[in-house]
Amino acid sequence: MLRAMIRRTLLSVLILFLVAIFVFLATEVLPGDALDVYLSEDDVAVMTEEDIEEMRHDLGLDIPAPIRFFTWLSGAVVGDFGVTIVDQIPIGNIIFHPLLNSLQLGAIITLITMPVAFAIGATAGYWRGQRTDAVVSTTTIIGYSIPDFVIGTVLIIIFAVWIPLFPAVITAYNKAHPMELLAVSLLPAITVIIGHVAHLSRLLRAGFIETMNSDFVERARLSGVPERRIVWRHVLPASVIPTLNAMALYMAGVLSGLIVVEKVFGYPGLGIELIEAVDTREVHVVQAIAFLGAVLVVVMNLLADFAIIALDPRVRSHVSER
Amino acid sequence: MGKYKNPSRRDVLIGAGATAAAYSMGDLILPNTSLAAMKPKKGGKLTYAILTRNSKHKSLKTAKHPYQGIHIRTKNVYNALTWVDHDIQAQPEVATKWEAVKDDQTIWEVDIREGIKFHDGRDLTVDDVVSSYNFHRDKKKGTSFAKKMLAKVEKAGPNKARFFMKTPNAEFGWWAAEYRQVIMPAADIDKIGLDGIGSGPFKFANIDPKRSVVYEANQDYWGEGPYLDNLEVVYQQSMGSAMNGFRAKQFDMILGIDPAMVPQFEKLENTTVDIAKAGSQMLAVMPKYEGSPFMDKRVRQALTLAVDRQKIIDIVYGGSSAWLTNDTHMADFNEDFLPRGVVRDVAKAKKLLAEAGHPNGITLPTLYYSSYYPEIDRVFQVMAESVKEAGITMPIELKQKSGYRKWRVEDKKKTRKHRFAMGPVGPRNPAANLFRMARPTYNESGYWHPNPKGDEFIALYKKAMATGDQKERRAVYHEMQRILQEEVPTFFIIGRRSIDVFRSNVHGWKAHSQSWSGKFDTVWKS
Amino acid sequence: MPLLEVKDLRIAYQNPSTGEQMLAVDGVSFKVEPGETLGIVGESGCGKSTLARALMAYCRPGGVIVGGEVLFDGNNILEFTDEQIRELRGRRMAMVPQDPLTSLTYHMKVGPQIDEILKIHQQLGAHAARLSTLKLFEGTNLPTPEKSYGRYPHENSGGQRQRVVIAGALACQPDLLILDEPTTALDTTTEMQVLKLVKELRDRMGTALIYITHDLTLTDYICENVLVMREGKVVERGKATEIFSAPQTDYGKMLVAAIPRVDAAFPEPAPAIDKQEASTATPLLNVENLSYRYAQRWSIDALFNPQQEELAVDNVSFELRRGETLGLVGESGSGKSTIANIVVGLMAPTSGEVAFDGASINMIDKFRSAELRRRIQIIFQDPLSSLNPRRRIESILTRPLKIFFGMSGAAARDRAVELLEDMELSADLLKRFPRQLSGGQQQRVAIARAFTAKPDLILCDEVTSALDVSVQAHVLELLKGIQNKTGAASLFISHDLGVVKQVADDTVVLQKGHIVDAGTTRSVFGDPTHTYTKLLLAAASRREDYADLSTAAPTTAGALRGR
Repeated sequence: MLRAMIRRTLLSVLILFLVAIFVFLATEVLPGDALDVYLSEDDVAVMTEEDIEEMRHDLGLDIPAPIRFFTWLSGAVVGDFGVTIVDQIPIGNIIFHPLLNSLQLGAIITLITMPVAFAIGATAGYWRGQRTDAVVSTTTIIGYSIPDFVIGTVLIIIFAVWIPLFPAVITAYNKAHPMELLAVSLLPAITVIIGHVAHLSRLLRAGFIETMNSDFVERARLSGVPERRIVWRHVLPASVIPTLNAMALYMAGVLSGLIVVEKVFGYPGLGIELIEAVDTREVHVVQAIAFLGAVLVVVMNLLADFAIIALDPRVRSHVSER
Repeated sequence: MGKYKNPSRRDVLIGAGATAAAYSMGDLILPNTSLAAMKPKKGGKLTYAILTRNSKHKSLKTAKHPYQGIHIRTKNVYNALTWVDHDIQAQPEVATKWEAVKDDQTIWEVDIREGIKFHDGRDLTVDDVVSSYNFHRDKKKGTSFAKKMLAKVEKAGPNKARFFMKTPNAEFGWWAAEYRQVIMPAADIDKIGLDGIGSGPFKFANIDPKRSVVYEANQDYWGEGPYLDNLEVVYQQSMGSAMNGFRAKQFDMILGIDPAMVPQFEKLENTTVDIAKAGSQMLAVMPKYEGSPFMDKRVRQALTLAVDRQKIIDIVYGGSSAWLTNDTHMADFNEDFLPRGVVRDVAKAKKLLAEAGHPNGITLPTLYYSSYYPEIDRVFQVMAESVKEAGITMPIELKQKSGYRKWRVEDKKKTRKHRFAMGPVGPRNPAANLFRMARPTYNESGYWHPNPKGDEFIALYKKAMATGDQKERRAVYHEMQRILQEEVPTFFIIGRRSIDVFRSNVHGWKAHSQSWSGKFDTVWKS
Repeated sequence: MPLLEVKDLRIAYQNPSTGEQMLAVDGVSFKVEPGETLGIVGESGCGKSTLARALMAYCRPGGVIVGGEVLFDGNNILEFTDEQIRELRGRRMAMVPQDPLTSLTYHMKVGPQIDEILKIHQQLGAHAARLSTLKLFEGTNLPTPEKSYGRYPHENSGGQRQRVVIAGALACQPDLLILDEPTTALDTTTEMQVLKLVKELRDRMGTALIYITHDLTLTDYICENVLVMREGKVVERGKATEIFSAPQTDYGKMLVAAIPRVDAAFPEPAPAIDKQEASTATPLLNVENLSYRYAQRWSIDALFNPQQEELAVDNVSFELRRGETLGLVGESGSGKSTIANIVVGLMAPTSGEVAFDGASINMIDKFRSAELRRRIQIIFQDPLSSLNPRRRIESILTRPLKIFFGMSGAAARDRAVELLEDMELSADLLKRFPRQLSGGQQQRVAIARAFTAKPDLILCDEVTSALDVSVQAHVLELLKGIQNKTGAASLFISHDLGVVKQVADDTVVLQKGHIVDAGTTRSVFGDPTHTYTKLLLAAASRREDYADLSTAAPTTAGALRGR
């Protein structure tokens, strides 16, 4: 089991390295560099080409891309993401609070999504083919067909403009107190939750139905085990397991999904930071964020693996044999 | 939730009393004049949103530095020697008087206002001015305008500073108002400006480098005001979210809205849409090199004659929020602005094209542009359509904003020439405006230099800069504009006017053509 | 009063797309007296399992009881409320399902799953339930009840799992125990052990049994009375011994005749001419000292853990002469499929030599010539794995003809029709897709396809294991026919001794990768030398002396449990 975990970890490191290269290449092909975005037209109007080149040299932008990449990577390996190109500010300082804020929003979303999706999926699965199921199926299809930004905008119009309960745009700071952020995160959280609940509950419904039709449920029924106990003790754990990996990936995807709502609501998270960094060609910030995203996906997957190991004894003994 | 405020009963009452949505230009601001009799009220907080992207402001460490503002609006916290008013006139601020002490306009002496206190209680002295300007002219850390022009600054008396310019500069007063050239408490070059202490009407209270700045009133301000207790600027990524925030009453004001949104804001209750006298304009660089159609002056003249600028104003700008350019960098509210003799003449354009060997019309290279302004697509579409009447086919293409400038200019190895491409121009004084065509090395003229007319233009520019008398200078400026209008080295498309929108309970605000020069010291909320 | 009486029971399944109802059980009536053992026999799809579940008033989704009565103790349990029927299930009547692995909840330990039943029906506390469960485990001969209790289903062997499920079914000492093919998923020797257990328990507890199976020999072994079902109806009923020895109906006769029995007479030997010729020539296939070890997949694990796995095939030698059939017999894990894979080139041997027609064929498939690949063909247990589901039968059969022999379209089609005729299939099938055929038809097409290549050697890997007995007999007959016609030799792999006895000239018995017995089929079956062979034969013929044999070879029997 330990060996399997080590193997997965080594694989993860490889994945992260590939992600870093990919992100670097992706940012390299973008036109312009940090300085080009930094200088305003006014600046350029009074500067000569030589001035600009000199600045570029001072900032190290004329260093060949591969060297810049490996300098960055060698730092990233030990957790030092370097400094921004133009202002020479440690990247850790820039992304620390947005990361926490996004994680907080992501956690709220996950904590609400999981049980709600679960309850809906199990209910629809148990009364499969009946009215409850039909209502749930239709609603969930609608739920995940509507893009986040549409849901967000509608929520803003209803709950901020018409009924002024929540702010339309979040003006809280990067370093705002978690409770202050919590108070304003409801609309953005709901925006994301609607789509996620719709998707996950369908996933869970399918898993639930499959399990309800399994031989062991039949055996339990024919042994006179009451329905309630069958659902809770036999079916639920078994129907979660096959969906765990999908759920983990889904929840890891919450962060990327947050980019949209963060932009719509102005939530001070990593998504906005990423957009900004891409816009300003702060390659190292982009890399650091993409890197963190990849780390998150890997960690979520490991967590899902652990959960599967905890819930599915078959996997457990398989893993420990290896 | 913490940030949301219910509209007070008072807001509603006063709003109902005023014209629902006043639509004004320049000085004709109805609610402001009608309420001018009211005594300014002290207190309250005003939150305004801006849409300009923040590319410089990264960390708290530098957030208070005047060069790193979330917005170039340094006027909230700092004072400069002078400021440029709504009529683009240089007005005294820290300086009470400035005069050239040498006829060639290279040495200027400035009297420093007494009784100004920094936010930390220290007196602002001539030493602070000298120290600040030594920073501004520093080769590594300084600001481009000051680096370029200032050779030396020294203390010339207890309240007097002496500026030695590298070249003559008759428009010192405007130069000194440039937004980064603020006065900070004297310190070493490495440390100056980092503490965020200025002498302006507001003090820094709280800063999020990415999102917003909260200011609080400077009770010891030397001038009138401030009336507001707090001021907050919030940086918004999109017009849509800014409007949502305005509708949800989170924002009292949005600076610089999309002209296409004007009708939507006019429909809102208790909302004032204020249009400034002028604003930025768009130009098209016409690269002139062997093989380029722009080598022929007649093609350039035909192009500017063929564009139906009035139609652009009518269709894109609702007839009022733009102005007619004159094929120079000058803005129409400059006193020295010389309008073009003919606004549009399709017949003449056709004739010029025929003479240039294009009797059946001409197809120009693709004109590239980028999303500098929200309405820019519509501007270019109407323009491309209107030049067809003169037989000019001009394909247009939108390029991504980031990296656009580097993409359009000549490359380092000079293997690729500058493209036929759009660029933006801010509204400034003639010296700053016309300078852009007087630089042989600057590509905005599309390789106009060397050229006999260009040489003449440069000579006239130098002459104007060394001419102290404003009337004489104007004659030179007119001559320079005539050269540009005849030669058309660069083609100017249209000028836009800055548009601000605010609640009717906000008083004392006027949209400023130079968006960075607006001041909140006398703004108040009823 | 009978314990159970079924009157004119009819159960229908609804086709979800058309809404059409199809009767799976059509007017079945019978009685079971207390302590009686009734066998219900039939081929797949005859409705026997549907009937079995209906006896407990249960239908799978889509099924509905449309008529009739199920009287238990004189009460029609079909009219019971959910609560009443739940009271009954597990307490008065219990079921042993077909596959114990899938029938036990995989994420629960097995002990608590039995405790659960005791807690529900006998209101036992946790401790008392555990003690009872352990006792039950002891009673079902689980070797280490304590250990088994704390294991998850997959951690037990197939036989142990079935014992656990039986223990669960017997937990409340039910009056009626329904066993639905309880040994189908088990190896022959394990099956025998479980059957013995069921018999003993019945005798001890006096429980009435209903034993559902497709295997008539089993009913003969365990039941007093037998019902033979076909297409939802009872076609024959009577004493088990009578039906087995003298079936009355045609279907019954056919069913009995089709059983490949180890105690049946040896088939007529093939014409002697072939034999003589063959014995002088080099063998077609010569396997010498063949060993195979599963290669470690490249992985980081392998770097940490270079320890080698056991040999799957250990020093195996045999030869197969032209035109003959060699049977490879063994239980799962004996290495017989590994040998087949090496011969067709799906794997390369770890050591040893495989020679075909005198030349080494140690290399894997992709290094073999097209001609060699043509000459060796394989037929799998699941015909669908070798028939491309997206191609019509015509294309499946004509493609190899065109590739191997460059036949024109018309010629290839004629040949395909000929092959189908050999397999007693109509040319109409050419236009169909594999999935539109029955299992037996699919396997016959797969055989036809293998013979398109005019192979010299044909590998049959459990080719009839998935088929019903009656279909199996037919397919075996056709296979032998076409083999004789073309003169192809056959390596015939099967776990079923009856089948091998019927088709093979020579037989090799494998156990855990070793050859334990080999020789002519006649000698191996007639005079087995090795205990393991004897054990297999005893189990296959349901002989009572099986017990003595299994105690005589305890290590072997123990080793057989695991899969």
